[in-house]
Amino acid sequence: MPMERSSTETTQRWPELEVERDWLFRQALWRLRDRDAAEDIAQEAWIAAWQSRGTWNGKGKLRSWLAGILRHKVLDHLRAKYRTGISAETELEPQEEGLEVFDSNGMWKEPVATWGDPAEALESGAFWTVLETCARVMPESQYRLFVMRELDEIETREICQTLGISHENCHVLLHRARMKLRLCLDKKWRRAA
Amino acid sequence: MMKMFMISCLDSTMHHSRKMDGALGLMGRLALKIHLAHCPPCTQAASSMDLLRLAMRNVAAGDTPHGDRLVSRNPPSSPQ
Repeated sequence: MPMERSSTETTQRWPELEVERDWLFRQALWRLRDRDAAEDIAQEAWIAAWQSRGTWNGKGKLRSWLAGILRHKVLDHLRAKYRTGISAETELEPQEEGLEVFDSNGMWKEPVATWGDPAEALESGAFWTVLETCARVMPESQYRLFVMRELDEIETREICQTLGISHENCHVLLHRARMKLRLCLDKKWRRAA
Repeated sequence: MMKMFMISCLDSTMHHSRKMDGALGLMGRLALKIHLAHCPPCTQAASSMDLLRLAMRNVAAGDTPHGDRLVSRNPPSSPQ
């Protein structure tokens, strides 16, 4: 089986690629939130990397090169999954969470907590644990957009095309995603600290 | 004239989100700047959105120990 042969060969000939297998899975899981899909996509990316090893010039970070391959695999997966597009209308209606912090005049109902020094936050285990928890419960469409934009740095135009939604809805969903995630961290990390 | 630059806090967060996506026009950027200059809560909210972006970029880089640790529980077995 090609996969088995590749695995053995990489262990012998390209150990650096072999040790990135788990990293690829973790990256795929962040993007897909589905263990089975993440395993499949990570495996596909890993095999693609091995098959195109001739194009790896050895300069730069191996992970950057792998991330590019993974990104294409994830996008292909999403294009297939959202062939008919996200149903933006149904996605937009019930998900006002994150915006309930504003009153009818669009003003904050309660004081906004400071999140302190970003560098300290990124060093905080509690921050990352809560971030993961909050990310897991985000609505699918919001999370999808958020990850494509913030993790993969894909331009909103390409995101809209991939997911089959209008630019306006794209921005609305991204805003809600950021606000919802912000509010969740505010409650479970910042105010709980 | 100044009224067109007066936005609510909700609008401010929407403007900041669009700015992060490079989709905020000149007038919007001016309105946001004016609003943030006088609104500490919105400044905090904007900073927290920026931090979320920074965190995700750290995850993508895969060089944050905590971010790397998060989803590594129960890693898949290697196909052998």
